[in-house]
Amino acid sequence: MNDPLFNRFQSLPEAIEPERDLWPEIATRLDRSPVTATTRVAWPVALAASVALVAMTAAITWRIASPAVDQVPPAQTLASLIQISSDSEYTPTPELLSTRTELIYSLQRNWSRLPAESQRIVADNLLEIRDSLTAIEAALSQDPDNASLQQLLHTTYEQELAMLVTLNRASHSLPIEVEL
Amino acid sequence: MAAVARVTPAADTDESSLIRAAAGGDQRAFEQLYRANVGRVYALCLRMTADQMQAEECTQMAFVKAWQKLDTFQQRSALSTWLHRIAVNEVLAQKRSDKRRRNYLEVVEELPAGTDVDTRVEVSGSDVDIEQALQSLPEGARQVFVLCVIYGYTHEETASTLDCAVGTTKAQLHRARKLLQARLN
Repeated sequence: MNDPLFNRFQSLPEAIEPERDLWPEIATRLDRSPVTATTRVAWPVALAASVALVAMTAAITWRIASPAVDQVPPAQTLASLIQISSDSEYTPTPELLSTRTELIYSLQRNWSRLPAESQRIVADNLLEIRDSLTAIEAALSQDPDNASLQQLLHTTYEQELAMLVTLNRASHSLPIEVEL
Repeated sequence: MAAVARVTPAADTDESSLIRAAAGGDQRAFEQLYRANVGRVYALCLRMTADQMQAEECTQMAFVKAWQKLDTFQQRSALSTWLHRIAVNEVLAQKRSDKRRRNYLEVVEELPAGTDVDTRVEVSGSDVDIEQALQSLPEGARQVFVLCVIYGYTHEETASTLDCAVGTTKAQLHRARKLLQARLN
């Protein structure tokens, strides 16, 4: 555009320095919202767990009627996969924790009734959820006030609970009714 | 009115290593990137908003968002170009969310495609006069003028950025030009 008016504006300085230093406030905001590798890792891991939960539910439904063929992971393995670390600063709500405890007890009691392949699928998926929880807690340790991460942690615990409910129903021995 | 100054470009050789360090969480490296680029980002925000406080807020938010997204920056374009895009988006996002400023409707007559504006007027005045004339423009006309004339966007790019029709950007540019011409002469 060969226009004297436009040319005059195009010759303006590329930069205008702000009258005050904006960095201190920016630095404060960076402290509140750090971007770290763990924060970025937590989301895909948790999403993977969600996908795995759906796949596991379908697999369990089909496999439950199949005969057991291989070695069975012991019930202690199950217990270790769903144990909440004593080091964890974040625990589920008391209501969720209570329901979770009952479901775990019921599942351990009926563990041997599940076919071996189902047990392996269950173990793999619980391990995936455990990895998600660990990653989210690591991200939260660096960004404790991040509401999205806190929500994600809660959602992941709920996914674990949903899985436990599905397993109990699948073993035809669900002793309690749980509303999720 | 803010002080107007030219910024010495940061050495490109240092910039890549600073970007890598900042992407890894090094705030001191990010501060150096901020120091090297804040003038350009603030100038854009000030010209788009015509409001010093809003420009400061948009500048700060643009750098916070840049920090959050720095690991996605592939360095296929210059950092200043990337920051420019973030800043434009931030200004427009803040304008959209600030409904208190939107208590009137601005009706702009669209120009048919291919319409050119008459030009050829000499312009006098200092940089400060020019910046003040720019800030006096209505918001829509100012945003189009800033993007099209100062930052070299095409009408299509401007329309896409501002989410309006190409005819609207042409009309706004025509309007801005007439208003600036009147104010500067």
